[in-house]
Amino acid sequence: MAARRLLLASLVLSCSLLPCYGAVLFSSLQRTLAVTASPTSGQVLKGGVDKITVTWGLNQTLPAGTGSTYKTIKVKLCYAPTSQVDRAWRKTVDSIKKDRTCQHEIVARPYNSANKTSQSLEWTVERDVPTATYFIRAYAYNADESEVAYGQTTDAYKTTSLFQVESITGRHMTMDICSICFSVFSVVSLLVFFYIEKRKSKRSQ
Amino acid sequence: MYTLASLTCKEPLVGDQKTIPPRFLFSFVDKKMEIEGQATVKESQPPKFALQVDSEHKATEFRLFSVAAPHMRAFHLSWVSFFACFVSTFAAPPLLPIIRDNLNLTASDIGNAGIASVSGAVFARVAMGTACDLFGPRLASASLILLTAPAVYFTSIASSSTSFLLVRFFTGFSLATFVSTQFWMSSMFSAPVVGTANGVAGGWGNLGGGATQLIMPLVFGLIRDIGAIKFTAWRIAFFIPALFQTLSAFAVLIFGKDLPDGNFRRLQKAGDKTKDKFSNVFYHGIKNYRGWILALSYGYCFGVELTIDNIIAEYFYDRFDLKLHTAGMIAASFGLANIVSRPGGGMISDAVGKRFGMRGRLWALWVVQTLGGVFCIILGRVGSLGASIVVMIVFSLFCQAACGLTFGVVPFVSRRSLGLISGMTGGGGNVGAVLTQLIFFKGSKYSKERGIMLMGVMIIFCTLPICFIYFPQWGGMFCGPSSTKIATEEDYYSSEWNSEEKEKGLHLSSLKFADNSRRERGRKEDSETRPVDETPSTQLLEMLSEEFGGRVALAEAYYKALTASVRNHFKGNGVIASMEHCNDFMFLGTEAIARVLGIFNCQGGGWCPVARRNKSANQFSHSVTCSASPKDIEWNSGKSPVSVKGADIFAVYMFKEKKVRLLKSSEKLEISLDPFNYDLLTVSPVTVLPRKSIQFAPIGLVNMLNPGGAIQSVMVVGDESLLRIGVKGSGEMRVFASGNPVSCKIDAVDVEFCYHDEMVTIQVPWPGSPKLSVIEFLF
Repeated sequence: MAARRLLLASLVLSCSLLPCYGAVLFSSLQRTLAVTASPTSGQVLKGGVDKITVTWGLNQTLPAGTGSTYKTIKVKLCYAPTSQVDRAWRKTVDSIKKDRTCQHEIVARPYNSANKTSQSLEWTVERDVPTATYFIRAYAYNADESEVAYGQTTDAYKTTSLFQVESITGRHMTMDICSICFSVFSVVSLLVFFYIEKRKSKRSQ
Repeated sequence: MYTLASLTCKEPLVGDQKTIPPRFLFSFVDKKMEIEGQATVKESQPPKFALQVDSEHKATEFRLFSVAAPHMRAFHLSWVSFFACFVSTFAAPPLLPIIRDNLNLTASDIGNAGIASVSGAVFARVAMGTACDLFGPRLASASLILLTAPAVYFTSIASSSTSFLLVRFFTGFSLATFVSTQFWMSSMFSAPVVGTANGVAGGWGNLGGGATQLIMPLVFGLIRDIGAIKFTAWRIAFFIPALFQTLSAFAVLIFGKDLPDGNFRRLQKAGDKTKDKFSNVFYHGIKNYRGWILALSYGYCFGVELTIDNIIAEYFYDRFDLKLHTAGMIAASFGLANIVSRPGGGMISDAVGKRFGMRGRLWALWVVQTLGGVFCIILGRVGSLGASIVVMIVFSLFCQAACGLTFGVVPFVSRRSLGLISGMTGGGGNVGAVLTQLIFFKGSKYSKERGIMLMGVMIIFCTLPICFIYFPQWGGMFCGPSSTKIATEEDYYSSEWNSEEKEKGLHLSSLKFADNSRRERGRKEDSETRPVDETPSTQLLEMLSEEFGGRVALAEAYYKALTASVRNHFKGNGVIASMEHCNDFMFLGTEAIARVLGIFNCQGGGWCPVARRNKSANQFSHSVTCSASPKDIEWNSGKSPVSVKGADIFAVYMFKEKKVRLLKSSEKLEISLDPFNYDLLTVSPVTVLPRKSIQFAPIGLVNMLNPGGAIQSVMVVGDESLLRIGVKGSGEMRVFASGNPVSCKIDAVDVEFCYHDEMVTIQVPWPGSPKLSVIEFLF
């Protein structure tokens, strides 16, 4: 009984610590960043081969002083809704901590609010990016490392300007050959064993 | 039923009316030896074993850290190969976060693949059971392992959800090695330790399901750190379980043996192991309702274990927001509990079986599995992480112990179809897994916690049928053993063979097993008297075999005695007979006071050493006459030789005629026999009661073929008019007497008797205990 109470107490304690580190909600963020990417709508990019040029910066139409708190910008590759269907591990949740929409980080750059020019990067699609439909989103972080603003290439409903990535298979010719060879070897060795057994029992007769 | 022995002498006796020396005694040679054409009696050298063994050469002890051949070696080979199969089958789940991205899988794809991975084994397990019955566990399991290894190799080159499902499906077939493991252990280990052996082998194999959740991520991490990218690393990682599986199959083939005495094929060829037909094995297996009940209940201990293996990581990950790594570790601990829980179940079964017999085993199984269901319900209701982990571990202990307990009962359900019953039970386990995942864990109908709770309820319901399992010789949960006809172990196990098969001697290994399974009566039962059954010959056999320490030992002693006699009388041994069954006829009076002489007319058929088969020669079948005299009896043989120096008159009782004649010791009696006819003469030395001048000679129980064998002692008491005879058995007792007795008593109770043809006849009832009946005649 005492052990149980201790367990419960420690659990309650650990749970209570979570909210302290900020469950920032996505819906509370302002869309102040302008993000553009080179892939056209519906374009298919090959993993490990093709490149994406991403450009991000503060939306110039906004009043001055909007980006004063921004310290870092992280640009991420995010799953479009079609790639989230029946895949709970890519679910969109309002609490950014638990949100699994954007799992691949393209780049993280410090932000200078004085410099008004947009930054850009040419990024080769990494080889561990899975086959799916994507858009690109950038988060702005303040000094406390919590999100304060965002921007994305698609609209609010995530239906426009989506592009696809075709990942590498991860297979190699050598691997294919090895698999087949070992499989054949297993079956053949079984037959060899049978043959030896039959010979032995005939001999012992 | 038995076939009469056939005799051939070196030259066929042709012509009519030739006198045949009446000294025919029988030698009993293994019928299969006859087929092989060997004329000598088989005398097997008992092989030396490192462990103590019973009459079937199964080990009666279980030494975990020994690798002695063949028993412990078989144990280690079987659990390691089964472990390898579990590792392969559940190698995908811990790497799913990578695989699902590489192959673009949806949750439905993953769920379907999970169901596929356990559904293949449903029929594979039943098939495996039959394969073990027919080909032996060594070949059956190694074949399956080597044939499913390609599926594991091909997992490395899977490229879509379809191919992923297919490789998981075919890899899952390898879980059928569970059946060969249990079959192998049941063939190598005897009743006192079979539950433990089965439990440890099964448990340590199941361990693979937990170990793989640790091994695969480790191997993957290693390969990725060497330099491979994620999507390649997981593929390379699959070679490890595949190679492990292949190598373990090789080890089984090279170092394993099917039975303590050797491998199936070689034993079959030598005639030591009979080959059985698949249709018979199948029919007797599915006919046994106990197999079906156990299949259902196993679906709700092992099936639940497989389901949990597939869903528990996700459950902890989703419900408590854990990292995949952490969730994986908790998932592993469920499977890792197998290291003690399942063997523990087996040991509990053996311990309870020792004290309470089969009834205890059934009760223990029901209690433990129902408690497992209770803890499953609690797991679904509990809301905090710590409590969930604790409840899950307790649940795993009960659930897996129930698996071990189930296989403490399975070896006793059938002997002929042991493999099939094991396969059905094992297959039932997988059916339970498929059903449970389909009903409670597919789609979003129930949340995972509700699904777990409902699964617990289903466990409790599906465990209730165990109450209906009933063995006539041991009882069930609520009833004791039957007191009607089929109430012995021999009856139960030999009821799987029809009379034709019994005649050929195919059921003998079942009889051996039946003898060894007598322990399942429990400690209390053994000391009580056996239940009365109706056939006197069975009772007599029971009584005699008790003294010898079992029917097998009895048969062996008998065999030896006959062999010696044959050597003595048939020099060169051109005589071959074909019988191996023991019944009361066989106990030719080597011990009793009255001795029997058998006379058989077998002219016209016998074993031909040239053609190497039985041949009939009807042209030589004639009626034959011979003469017999009391001198022909071997009075000096046997444990208690009878001194006949003083006796000069003998009473000779003719079995067919049911009459008695007095003969002097060298007087001859002429006997004529038609072809294929026989007669038996009971010869008893005549003593005289001097006071009343009455001659008497005990004959014995004339309903038996060897009447004199029933007489254990003859005493003239006190003033020499009271005759006390000790008789073993029941039936019609006759005594030759020259005068009418005044009274007869059996066990000091007056009984009716009749006197005619110079014989006193009384009916001796079954005494109800393995002691002598004391019959007193007052003249």
